[in-house]
Amino acid sequence: MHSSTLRPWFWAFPTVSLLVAFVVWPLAQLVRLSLNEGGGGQSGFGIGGSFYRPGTWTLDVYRQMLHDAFFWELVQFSVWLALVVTLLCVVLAFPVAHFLWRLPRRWKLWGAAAVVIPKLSSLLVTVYGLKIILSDYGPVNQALLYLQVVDKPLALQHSATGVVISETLLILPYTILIIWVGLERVDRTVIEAARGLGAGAWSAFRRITLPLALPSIAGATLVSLIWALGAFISPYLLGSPQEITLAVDVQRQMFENLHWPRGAAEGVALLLLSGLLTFSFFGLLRSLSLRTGSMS
Amino acid sequence: MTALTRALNGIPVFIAGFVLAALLWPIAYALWMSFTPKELLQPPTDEWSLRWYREFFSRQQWMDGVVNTLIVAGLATVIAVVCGTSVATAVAHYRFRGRALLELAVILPLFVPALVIGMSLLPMMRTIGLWGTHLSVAVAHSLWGLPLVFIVVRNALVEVDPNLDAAARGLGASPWQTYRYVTLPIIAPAISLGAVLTLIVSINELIMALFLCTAANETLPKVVWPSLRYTLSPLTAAASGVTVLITLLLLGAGWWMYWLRQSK
Repeated sequence: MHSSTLRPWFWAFPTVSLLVAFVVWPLAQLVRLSLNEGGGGQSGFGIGGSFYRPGTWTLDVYRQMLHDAFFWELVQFSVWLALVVTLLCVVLAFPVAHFLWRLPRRWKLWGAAAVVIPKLSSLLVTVYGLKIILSDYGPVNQALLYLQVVDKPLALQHSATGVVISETLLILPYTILIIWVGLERVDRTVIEAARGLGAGAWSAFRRITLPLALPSIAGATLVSLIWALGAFISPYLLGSPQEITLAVDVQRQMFENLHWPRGAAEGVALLLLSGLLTFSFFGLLRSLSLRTGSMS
Repeated sequence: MTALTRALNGIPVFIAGFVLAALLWPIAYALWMSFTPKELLQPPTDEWSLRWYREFFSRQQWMDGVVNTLIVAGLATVIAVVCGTSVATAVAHYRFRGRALLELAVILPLFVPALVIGMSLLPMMRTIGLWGTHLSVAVAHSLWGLPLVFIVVRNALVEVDPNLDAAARGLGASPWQTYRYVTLPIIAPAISLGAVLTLIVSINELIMALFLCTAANETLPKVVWPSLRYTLSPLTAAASGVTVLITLLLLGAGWWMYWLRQSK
C-alpha cells in the first residue's frame, strides 16, 4: 500500500469519467428535465420532436403532481408493496440461509446454484412461469379446486396477491445470499463452545448466532427494501390497474403519455422515497440498538 | 430429544425446502412448457417436441434480438472490466483521500433502481446522439457490471503477496512491467469471473433496455417483453429456454476458468 496523491486517480480515471458522464450528469439532467414545461411533442416517439419544452423553468409539474390524488395512490401502493415484500423476503430468507450455512461443504455448491440460477436467468423466465402457474387454470388453482379448498379459482393473477408473490420471488435470492454470506462469517467454534458450556440449541441460536447475523440481516432488509420500492416487472405483468407502482407509472409517462417532465419528476420522487426509507431504516436501527443497549 | 423438539427443529428445514422449490419451480415450469407440441399452454406429458425452438430460430426479429443481446453484453463487459479492474487497483494499491467515497460511488449504481438509471439515460443519450445504438445499452449495463468486477478483483488484489511486487521491482522491473507480468496473471481468474457475471447480468437485463432500445438495437428480453404482456405463447417459453441455455453455458465457462486456473 503506497501513499500517493496522483497515481491512484490515474488508475481511477476511467471509472470516474464513466460515473460522472453516465450517472452524475444524467441524474442532474433528470432533475433539470422535471423543471421543464411539458408538451411540445409533435410526432410519434423516436421520429423527432421532444416531449418537453427545452429552456423553460417551472415548478408546475411538481405542483400538479403533489395535488394529484393518483400520484399519492401510487406512492401509497409502492411503499405498501415494498414493506410487505421486504418483510416476506427477510422472514423466508433467514431459514433458507441458515439451512444453506449448515449444509456439508460438498452440498453447498448445489445450494448456491439453486439460489443463484433463478437470479441469473432472466427475470422474464420466472415471471412467465409464474403467470402460468398462478392463472385460473394453472396448477395451483387446479390443485386447490381438486382438494376442494376453494370452490372457484383464486384471483392469484391481476391482483395484489400475484404482485406480492412474484416480487418476493424476484428479490428473495438477493436476501438469501446476503444473509448467507453474513452467517458464513460467524465463527462456528463460538457456537460449539456455547453448546459445550451447556447452552441448548435454541439458546445458542438466540444468544450467539442471531446477534452475530444481525448486521447482515439489516443489510439484506435494506437491499430488499430499495429493490422492492423500484418494483416494475411484477406489478406490470401480474397486477391489475389497481396495482400500479411509481416505477410503472414513470415508464407510462415517458412512453404512453409522452410527458417527460412528469416522468422525470416521478423518477426524482422515487429516488427521494428510497433515500427517505433508507434514512428511516437507519433511524429505526439506531433507536432499537439504543433501547436494547440500555436494557442489558 | 423429544418428538416435539424434533418436529420444531424440522420447521425451518421445511421452510427452506419450500422456498428453494418455489424459487426454481417457475423456471422449471417454463422450460417444461417450451417442449410442448401444441399451441395450448399445457406442459407436455406424452408428446414432446422442439417445434417452438424451430419457430424461435426462424423468426428474424428474435434472432436479431439474440445477436443484439450478445453485442451489447460484450461491449458492457469490456467497459466494466477495464473500469472495474483499474479502479480496484487504485483502491487496493494506494491509500489516498477520497478512497472510501470512491468505493461507495462504484458500488452505488447497484442500488439505484434500474428504472431510474434507464430513464435518466434516455434523454441524455438522445442529446448526445447515442440513443438507439448498442453502445448506449452497453454503457447502462456496465454500470451494474462495474461494481461486480470491482468487488471480485479488489478482493483478489488484496490477497496478492506484496513481496512478489517488491521482488519484481528489486529485479529491475518497471512499475508497469510488474503490474503486467506479475499482478495481472495472478488476478486473471478474478477478472474473468467478473466478466462472466457482467455478461450474465447484461444478457438478462430488461428495464434499462426498455428505455434505451429502439428497433435498431433490441435485445432479447426487450423482444420477449410485449409477448409476455399480451400473448403468452409457448414461443416465449422457448425464448426463455434459449436465455437459460446461454446463461448456463456462461456460468459453466466462468466456473471452469475460475476454478481450473485457481487450482493451477
